[in-house]
Amino acid sequence: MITLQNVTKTFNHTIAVDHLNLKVPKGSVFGLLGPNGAGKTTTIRMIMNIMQPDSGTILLKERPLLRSDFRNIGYLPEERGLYQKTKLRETIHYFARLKGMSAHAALLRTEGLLEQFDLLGYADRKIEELSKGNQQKVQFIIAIVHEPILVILDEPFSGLDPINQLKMKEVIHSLHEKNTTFIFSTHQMEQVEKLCSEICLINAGQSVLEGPLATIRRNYGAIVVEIEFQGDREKLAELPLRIIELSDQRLRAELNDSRQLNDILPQVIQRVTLTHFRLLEPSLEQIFIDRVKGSSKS
Amino acid sequence: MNQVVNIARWEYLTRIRSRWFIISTLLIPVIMIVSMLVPTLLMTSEDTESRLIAIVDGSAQYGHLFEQMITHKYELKDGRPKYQIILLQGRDYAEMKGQALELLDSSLVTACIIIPEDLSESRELRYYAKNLGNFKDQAELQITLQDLFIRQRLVDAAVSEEVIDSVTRPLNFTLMEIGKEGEEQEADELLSFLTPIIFVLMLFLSIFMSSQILLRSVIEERMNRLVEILLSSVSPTQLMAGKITGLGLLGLTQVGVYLVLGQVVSTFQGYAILTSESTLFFLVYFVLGYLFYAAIFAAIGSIFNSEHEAQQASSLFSLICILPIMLSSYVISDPNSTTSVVLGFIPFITPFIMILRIGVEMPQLWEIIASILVMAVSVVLAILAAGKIFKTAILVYGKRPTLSVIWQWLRT
Repeated sequence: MITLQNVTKTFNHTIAVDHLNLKVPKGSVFGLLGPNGAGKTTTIRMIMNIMQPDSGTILLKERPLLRSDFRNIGYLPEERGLYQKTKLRETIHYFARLKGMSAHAALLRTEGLLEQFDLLGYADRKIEELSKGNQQKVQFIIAIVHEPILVILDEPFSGLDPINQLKMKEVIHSLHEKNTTFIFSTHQMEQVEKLCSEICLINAGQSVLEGPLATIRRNYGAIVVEIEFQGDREKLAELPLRIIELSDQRLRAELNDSRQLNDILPQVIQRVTLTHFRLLEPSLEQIFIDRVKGSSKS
Repeated sequence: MNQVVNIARWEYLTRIRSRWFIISTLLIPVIMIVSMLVPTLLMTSEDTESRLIAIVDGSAQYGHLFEQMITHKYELKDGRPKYQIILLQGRDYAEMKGQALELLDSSLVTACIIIPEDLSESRELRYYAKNLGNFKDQAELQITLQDLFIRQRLVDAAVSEEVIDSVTRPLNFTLMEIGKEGEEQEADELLSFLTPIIFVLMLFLSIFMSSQILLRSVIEERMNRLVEILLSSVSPTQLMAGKITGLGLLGLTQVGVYLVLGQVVSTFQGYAILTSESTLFFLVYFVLGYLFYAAIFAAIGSIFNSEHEAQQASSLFSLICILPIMLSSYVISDPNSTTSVVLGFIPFITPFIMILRIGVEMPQLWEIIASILVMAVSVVLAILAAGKIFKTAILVYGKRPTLSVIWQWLRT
């Protein structure tokens, strides 16, 4: 859907985005991850044509973006605001019209979304009378009101309560099922693990890690085994493992791969009484921290 | 084009429904007219307090006569004399003068007039007062003294009382104006002075209210970052064009309200303030002036990060436009002087000066056409320049661009 080739952007001698390559497959939910200041928002603004890259190209379906393409793209900026003095319904309607919808279609769609987001009761209120969470829902509605094929969300969940996060995720899921592509940037890893099919981890403007989430987990995540036991813990300390935590009842250690478990378990049973064990999926957060630390060291 | 219409409609409709817009549209002209009329009315209204005037009479002749004359000539509503005289005479001149100035100093008298011994030769009177801005009192005192002096000289020359009366009787000076069909009618001095000023103030108001709303609207969208969403839907040029159009129509609505109100008032009062000609010119100069300033204000709005910062820059331009209001007495008194004509060709103030001139006396046709051309060219240049600045600056946050950076944008 979207391809970035060697995209670079510099502000006052600081490189915000550094020869970044990205490929967002059609129909994917693509997570753009990275710590604060990694260049996520700048990347998104360049895709949205709000800023021009200093060098490199941004392609939509293998061709440069045209102004008319933006009619099919929805956008929720990181820094949010709305007209405070206008009414909810007419504000959404206005943005739908600006995206090229007919007055009638815009009206129908606005009503539908207001209902879906439990905002019908506020439709004729001024936006300044809405709570912050509700205002955020309105901004999200504006990003999807014109049924775009690509939706770009910059930190969409920050500041939302769990119920509304769930609502937003439901809508993202249902749109995803209709083949809408999503790009969203976040530093909240749990969100990504639940939603994304693909990710790109960027740090200091460079891509550190990119690809389908499952592949990344397999390739980069260390598998952690957690063992609960009764017996002398010193006996376990001599095992050939990278131990993370060892207490009187519990051992947590990293495995090189899942096959290593077959060798380890019998040795554990020989030494102590095993009461419980499980394998922990590598967490994206751990990968993230490892990679970011790793890349800043190198 | 469609998008421009959408934006224009939005800007127009959301603003026109605002209660504050309606209130200020109706109230501001009322406040302005009242604040102009009240001082004028107060100045021309009858006085209620009599004034104590100290006269130091070195001539030992005029003081007494002056007292008689002035106490009868000017009376307050309740019949008391407007001026009461404390006459100092017959003693040492310097001593009397010192005493009179002491009275003035302690505010016991409002003014003090010194008549020298040799008035006939020196013709030098001195008027002392703490407030030298009371032109009406000064004029009355001066005229009476002048009158008295002439009378007295005629008496000295043994001219008969009858002749003196006939010589000194004032002439009537009636202001007349010639209407459209050549008919003569008595003119109202105040009205013929105020009409052009009211026109120019209305023009000023309509242009600046709309341009200020434009400025605020651009800054608001910059501050709440809606501009990012807007510019992912429309181009900066469309955004600027839509805003200028919508708020221009808002201004035109305001002008329309004023013109209708003006028509109602003038029909009611029986004065022909509004003619179809002046209405037409008002509209033409409003559109040109608005487009010129709207372009400038849109550019200012795109540069500054907050309304507060932008206000300083915009008030600079508003100050330039107060210039015509300050110059109005001059232009009204001499609308066809070279200075007035030249002022009419300076783009920043052309609409205001021309409306003033038209309000007093229709200028030559070539002057009107030339001023419209000057303004039209300026509008095109302003919009081109503003478009360049707006396009580049609207998404730049943080450090405000320097003048040299802006100059670079303009040259690209």
